[in-house]
Amino acid sequence: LGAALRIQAAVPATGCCVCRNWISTTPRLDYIQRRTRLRVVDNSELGRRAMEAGKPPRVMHVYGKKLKAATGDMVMVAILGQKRRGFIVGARRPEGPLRPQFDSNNLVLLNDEGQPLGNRILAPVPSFLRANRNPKLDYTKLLAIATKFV
Amino acid sequence: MDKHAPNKVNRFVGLCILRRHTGLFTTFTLRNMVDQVCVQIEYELYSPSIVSIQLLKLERRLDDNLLYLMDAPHSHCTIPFDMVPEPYSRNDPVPVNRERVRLNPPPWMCKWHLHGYQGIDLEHLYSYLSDKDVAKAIEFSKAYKRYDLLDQYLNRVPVPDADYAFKDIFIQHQELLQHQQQQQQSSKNPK
Repeated sequence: LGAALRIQAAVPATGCCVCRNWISTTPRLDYIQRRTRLRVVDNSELGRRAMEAGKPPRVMHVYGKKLKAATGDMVMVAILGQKRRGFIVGARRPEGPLRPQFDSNNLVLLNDEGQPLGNRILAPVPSFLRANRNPKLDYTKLLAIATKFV
Repeated sequence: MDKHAPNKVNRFVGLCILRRHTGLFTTFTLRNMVDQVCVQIEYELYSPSIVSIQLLKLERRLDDNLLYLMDAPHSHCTIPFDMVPEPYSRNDPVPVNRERVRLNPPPWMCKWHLHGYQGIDLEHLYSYLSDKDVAKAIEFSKAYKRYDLLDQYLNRVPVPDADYAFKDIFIQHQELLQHQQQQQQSSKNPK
């Protein structure tokens, strides 16, 4: 584990911690990959129905020739029996200094052209996304519908 | 300082839940609830990107880190962005907040009962655990006693006193040992 991740493993040290190995030392499994369930944070009809029905979207594919997705990546999700593209605007996995970490993996649904389905993003969006670095997707319009930057 | 923000400055308010590392890369993590979503941001204390750090409330908790707030109701880490700074005096000792947090029902992100947190309502925590887990937690909380030299010293019987007491029963103890040996031999003989 890197130093940034070590504290997220199940060993937060307190004053009286003893080196006995009955604490599980596996890291927190917080990657976004295929089969990961995400939380839709825009106000699209499809997303709202899926979250209310208790059937959150599941990642089917991560774009960009990689297996793990993070904030700023585009994914293909299966949502209510449909295949949709989505953009990850927040992840549980810590990104590093000055980059926010969320309690849930947040997703904004996109149509096939890469335009957001909803017209408002209800969760705070990381500010570093404003650099618009995803080569596969120009998500300027997505940032325009964000309500709050963190 | 945020080159992407309209004013080039991005302000975040939060509860400091963790401080890590030393020296140039000392970091602290702030947690807050923004638009019903909990956000945690780690800041490097000496980073030039940080314009200023304003202390809004000076307080200590019962633990080194408050990572268990991830599994606690969000009210515990909600800090309003327009919070007025509370005055504090440099000479006074840092006030301790002895609040004990009640966690949400499991599943949790971590086995909070195995890290010796004082800031969690332990009775409430143990009510979610099986007897085996509670026993493990209690055993863990006492595990440091192996290294507690003063505790061992105070609870140890001084050697002269132990000898004095043992002297009385020495003869009977020898007889007992002989009896045990005979038992072992007689159990072996039929074989």
